[in-house]
Amino acid sequence: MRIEIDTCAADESDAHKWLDRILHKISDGWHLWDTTHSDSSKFEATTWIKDRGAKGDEILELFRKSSEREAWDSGLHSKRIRVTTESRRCCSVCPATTLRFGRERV
Amino acid sequence: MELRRLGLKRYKSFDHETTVEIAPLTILVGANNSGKTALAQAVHLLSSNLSLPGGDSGERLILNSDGVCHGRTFEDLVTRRSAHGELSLSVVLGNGSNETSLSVKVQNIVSKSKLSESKQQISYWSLNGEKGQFEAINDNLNEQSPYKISAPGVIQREERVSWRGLLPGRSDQFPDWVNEQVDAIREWASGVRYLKCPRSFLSSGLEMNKSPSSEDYAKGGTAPWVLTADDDLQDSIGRWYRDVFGVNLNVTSYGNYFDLTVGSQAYGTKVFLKQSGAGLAQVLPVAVTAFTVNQEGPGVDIIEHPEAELHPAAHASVAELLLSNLPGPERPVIIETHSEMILLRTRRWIAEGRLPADHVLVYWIDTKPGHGSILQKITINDKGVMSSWPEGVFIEDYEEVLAIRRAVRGMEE
Repeated sequence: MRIEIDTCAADESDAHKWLDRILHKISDGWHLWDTTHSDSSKFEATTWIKDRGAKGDEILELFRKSSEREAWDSGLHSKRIRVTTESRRCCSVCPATTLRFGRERV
Repeated sequence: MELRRLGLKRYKSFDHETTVEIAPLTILVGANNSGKTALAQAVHLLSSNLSLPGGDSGERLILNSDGVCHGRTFEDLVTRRSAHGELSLSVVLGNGSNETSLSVKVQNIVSKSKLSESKQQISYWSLNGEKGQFEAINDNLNEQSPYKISAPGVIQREERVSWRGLLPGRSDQFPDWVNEQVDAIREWASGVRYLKCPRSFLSSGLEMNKSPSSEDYAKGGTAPWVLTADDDLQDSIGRWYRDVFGVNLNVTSYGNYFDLTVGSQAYGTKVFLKQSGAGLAQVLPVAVTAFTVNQEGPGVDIIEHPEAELHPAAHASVAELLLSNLPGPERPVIIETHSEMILLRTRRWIAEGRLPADHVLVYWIDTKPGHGSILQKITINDKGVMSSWPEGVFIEDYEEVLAIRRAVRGMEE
């Protein structure tokens, strides 16, 4: 599954623990971090990255590598969700719910 | 004439019939030992045997020419090294809306009296153009026996054919259009050049008056002399070396000899190019080829690993050099590469509208058990997006970062 993380979710401190756990699933190779729609400079300035010291650096490295990975996409993962804390939109879920979806390889 | 398609069957690891469409820039990528070099060399094997000078040498396939060795014996060319193997090669050459296709099958015939001796015979030869199809067939496993000749407007007959490599010599018995097309193919084939990797061309004290032979081109051996003879080229390549590597490339003459040296503020002195970083020497023939390719007539330039020995940051500059000097369909450039950056820069040029999307084709070459080499043709659209891409390729660093994250998490838990 492709998981897009919205800037607003990354800027909300209550969501960070859920986003960290989503990232675990990404680093386990179960899912891909979809960065195609992210404004990288805005995303890199979010509190999830900026205010978390070494942890933030790790997230940033994975974000950048995921962006590079997009250039060599084989199209293997087609399902996609967007993680947001904004009011619900089509194909968008809150961070906690994403983790529930993300517990299975898709 | 321009190369539009190449066909192979039972050639090295290409067991099955394989057609390769050629674009002005054709990029061959794939794992080691997948068949990239074999594919790149097939163009040279064909062209070198289509441009043989003089009369019948008795050899149907010259395996070692222009400094490129295709194999020790014919068996090295045939899938599974079959002793009685038959190899098919074909080429489609275009001229405007007209296309001429040449197909040839070469059969290995092992001597009945001496099994260690073998000879190759052209068992099938055909030329297909706007005037029709001309065929010469000899399935007698005896080259001395005549060929069955058929062509539109000609009564099928048997005739001996005098071969010059993979082309027949001119014959009054052939229709005029066949003789004309054969001459045109021979001329096109003489324009094919092959630059190998690694390139091993530099020695000290290069003789100013020496004329390097065509044998020297493949290993990059003509580059120093081409450079020395052309002041404008020296300026262009000197600028490129300064911009990319921050060094000055100099031709230093003494009497009848010269040397190539590089100097930079970091060194404080000049050193011989061959004693500098290997990449600086390896890329020189590539740069000379790129800067002079537009002076060449029709043909093909094939370059193995233009980025060889260079730091990844310099790969993009090599890509820029090749892309900005692409001659077009009349002289395609075929490169074999492992460079992610060359592909990315090519896609970027297309996305930026600097290169037409249909001027580039990428082939991913892979192997399949029991099938040999297989090709995946990949096109790039005008947004720089590829039609497909094999899973896992060029994302090795991403996988490494994931593994580091997992390891760190393991420590924390």
